[in-house]
Amino acid sequence: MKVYRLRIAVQFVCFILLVYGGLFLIDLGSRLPTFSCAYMDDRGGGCFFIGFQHMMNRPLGEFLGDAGIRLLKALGIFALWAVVLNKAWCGWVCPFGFLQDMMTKLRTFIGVDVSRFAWMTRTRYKSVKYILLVLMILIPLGMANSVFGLPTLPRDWSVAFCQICPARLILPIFNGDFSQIYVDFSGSVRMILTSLGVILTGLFFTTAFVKRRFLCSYCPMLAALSLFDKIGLTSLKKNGQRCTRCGNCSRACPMEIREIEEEKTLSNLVTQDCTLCLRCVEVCPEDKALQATFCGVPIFTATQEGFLKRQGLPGENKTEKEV
Amino acid sequence: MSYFAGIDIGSATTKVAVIDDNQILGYKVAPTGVHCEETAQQILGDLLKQLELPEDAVERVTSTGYGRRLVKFASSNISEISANVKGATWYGSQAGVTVRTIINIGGQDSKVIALDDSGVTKNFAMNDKCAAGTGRFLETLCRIMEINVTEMGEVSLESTVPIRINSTCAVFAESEIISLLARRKAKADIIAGAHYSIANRVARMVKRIGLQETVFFDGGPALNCGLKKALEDELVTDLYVPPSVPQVTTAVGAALIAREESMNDELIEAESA
Amino acid sequence: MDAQEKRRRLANKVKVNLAMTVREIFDAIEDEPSRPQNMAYFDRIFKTFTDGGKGAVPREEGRKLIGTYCLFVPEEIIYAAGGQPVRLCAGSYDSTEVGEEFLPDVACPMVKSEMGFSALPVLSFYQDCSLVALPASCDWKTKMGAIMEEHAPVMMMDMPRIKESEASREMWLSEIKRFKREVEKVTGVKVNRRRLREAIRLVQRAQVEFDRFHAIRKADATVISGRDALEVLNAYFYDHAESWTAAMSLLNDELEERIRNKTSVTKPKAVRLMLTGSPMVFPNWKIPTVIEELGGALVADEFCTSNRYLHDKVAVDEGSVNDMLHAIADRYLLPCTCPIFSTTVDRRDRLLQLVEDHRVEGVIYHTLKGCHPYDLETKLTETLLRDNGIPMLRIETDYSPQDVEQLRTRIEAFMETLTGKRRG
Repeated sequence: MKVYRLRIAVQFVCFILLVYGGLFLIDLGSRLPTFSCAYMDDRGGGCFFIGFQHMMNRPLGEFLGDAGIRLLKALGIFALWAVVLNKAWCGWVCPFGFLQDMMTKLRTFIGVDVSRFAWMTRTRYKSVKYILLVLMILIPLGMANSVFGLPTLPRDWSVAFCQICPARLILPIFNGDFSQIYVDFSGSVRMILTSLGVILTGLFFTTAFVKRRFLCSYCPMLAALSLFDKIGLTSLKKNGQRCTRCGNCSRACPMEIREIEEEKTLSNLVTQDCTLCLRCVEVCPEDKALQATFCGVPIFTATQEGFLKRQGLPGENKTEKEV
Repeated sequence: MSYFAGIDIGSATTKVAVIDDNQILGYKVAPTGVHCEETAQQILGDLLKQLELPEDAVERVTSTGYGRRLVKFASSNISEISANVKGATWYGSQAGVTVRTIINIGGQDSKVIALDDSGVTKNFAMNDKCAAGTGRFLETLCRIMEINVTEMGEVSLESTVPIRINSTCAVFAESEIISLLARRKAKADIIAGAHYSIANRVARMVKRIGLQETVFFDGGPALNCGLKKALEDELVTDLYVPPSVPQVTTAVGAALIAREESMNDELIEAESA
Repeated sequence: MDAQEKRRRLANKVKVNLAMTVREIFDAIEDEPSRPQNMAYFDRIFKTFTDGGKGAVPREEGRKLIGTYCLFVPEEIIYAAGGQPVRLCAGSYDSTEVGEEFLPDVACPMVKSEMGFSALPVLSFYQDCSLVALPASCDWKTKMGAIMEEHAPVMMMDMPRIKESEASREMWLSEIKRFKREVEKVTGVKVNRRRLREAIRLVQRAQVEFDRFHAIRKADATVISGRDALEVLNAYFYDHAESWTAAMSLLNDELEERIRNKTSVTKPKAVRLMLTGSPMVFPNWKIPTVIEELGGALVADEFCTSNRYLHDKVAVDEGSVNDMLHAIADRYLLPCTCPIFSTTVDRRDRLLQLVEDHRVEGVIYHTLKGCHPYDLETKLTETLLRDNGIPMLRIETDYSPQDVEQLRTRIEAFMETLTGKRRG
């Protein structure tokens, strides 16, 4: 089974659902753990973060009351989505992830080679996504409270993450809306934040062209979902003894995860950066070394035979002269 | 004209050679039997008769071989190494060949002798404990395969790929060969394999001693062209085999020494006179 | 005798002895009952060794022969550049004596044998190579290059010993790229995307048949003898991948039929043995011959010359030339279980997996004298197998036939221990 083809199909369907769903009166709620940007007028569901940032913009005392219950409910729904599909949200649903995958397809079609990080580089910047997540909690709180005795943050900091998020500039384009592409000069904070947004959008067209899922490495949604890696119902399992450490998995991994190749003893290989795209399972040539599971039941297992079929065998039997 | 005789008493055959002052007159080979001295006497007598020489024509007899001390009528006896060296270097000089190594494969032993630049024995190795690598082994083969010893060489040359004989012992090799025959393997291949087996053993002895060209090959089996080829392959050198007389080289050597000793005695007599 | 003549005669000596050895092996094998008919194709390749190896390696008009050593040199690149690869690792005792003139006595017999074949024209494909790619895998191979340069157009390839590091992988990739450039120079054909992709598929098709064969050997009935299994894989050294694949396909069909008919080449309840350690190359069939003469069933092996050779697969990801080269570099380095690498945990996992899959009862660990990497691994392997309840026999030997009887005694005793263990 060519899983990546299935995945593209699913991604496409989700893209339509999330970007155009509103036109068909589809609403999957506003607590989705994926970049279904709230700035899209026709969206079929909303990104969790915008609501989250608004909810966190409250004096601490209020969390003991209604606001707290609302927050818990929102977190609960998020958690439910996260536990069931875990990182599959990133690999199979996220419209922004889909767009990055399309950039990759364009690149391979043109014939440009992929660009990879040095191992240290990737390791060094792993924490960026968590820092962004933490800031996403602290900044709204800092707007309504005096954090560390500092004055409260001005309104300009409202939905700070959305201001820098490149999905906000790009996704509405698919609804015919180019209005999000701007720098807000109305205040210095807004100017800086929205400029960052424009810069990251620029990076989408450049770096994300040569690197696979470049922006996902820094995504706070990935960070938030990674908190559920160990308990997610959708999971990736490895049998260390059957692994020959051939490295096909980490080479094919768009997130350049090394653990998938190096680990010999751990069984659950949904690592911090993993988007459950299952490319690793597709290129694994050893029987049962890698397996995607749902509620513990294998749904896609690596096999020698499957590997060879996906590589295009038997293919045409070209004679020596044609080679 | 003076006549001299050399008697080589081997465990299987006795060889007698008669020479005069200038050349080899004749030689004879016969089975040694149980009483070597009588056999030696008999053969010498027969040979002299054949050469139309009187019974007492021979001035001096030198004996060699394993039974040399048993020939009471011999004036002297020497080791077969020395006799072989003497004979081989003489034949070599006749043919214009500088002999530096001698390989002798006898009925029941095999030797390798290394000579220095002046033709004197430098080193030697001998296998006299075991029939493997000797003429006896080849005789056994002939018996099993029901062919003549003289045919062996020609038949073996027909082989394209010899069959390796693994047994290091001639007795075990016999059973190995019988089983090969039972499996209908070609006789030519088996005989060739036996030749290579002998060549291999000899090559090991040569390695211990060191090979220097030209290599002289004598002893009865030297007439076997297949064995010669196998040895040449294994030793990576050409072998010189004296034409038609390889079996009697040692006896000739003994005769030559008899002549030399006689000349020495005359010199001593002349000096003391 | 002048030097050239001497050289020719020496080559002839090796040739005659090699012919005898090859004949001896086939005389013994062909006596074995119920040999698969499709072995004839592979037999032919080795029987050519009696006559200078003519016809062992397919020589199409103008196709350049590229010699390789070990299993680190990418055949895909050679095929893509229009060349014919031939693996030159050697197993002949008869050429080791020649090799001894160039190498110290303590050198491993394989290296001596290869050296002998390179220095003297015995098997023509050694002399016919336009390029010989020699990975500096073990110490012997590293030094052999300089000694061999006089006789063959050697290209050394630097090899990392620590494959976990990022720097070594980059170094290896750049060596692969350099190799590609050298091969292109030799054949005059540029390796482009289409040719490389097709070459990868060519090898992968061979691997499909290899996988089938491997699965067949897991069956309860031993449908093919150990010597034949080694021979079949050893044939891949010389044959073109496509013809080998076709022949394997027929053999596999026949063997699968045998599984259905339950035709076995060993007696029922024969002891199931696995060989591992320093590689065994034809005609060094000394140990498998002894095992099978004693009635043992050789059901698996873990040799770089057979079971390991075609196991790992190139995974094409995006399909550009660089991507394929990267995939090739990774395939030839990372999963390799050769003990020249610092960590060999993968090798031990593989051994355990083989024992499990093939239901192996005993392992024979074979080291060649002078083979340090496998020597150093012995204790680790012994501990691993002991901890998993699998008996192991250590055998250290070389190519000479002198110790066959001692080996027979030891292997027989080992097999009796295993049968005893079953009852106990």
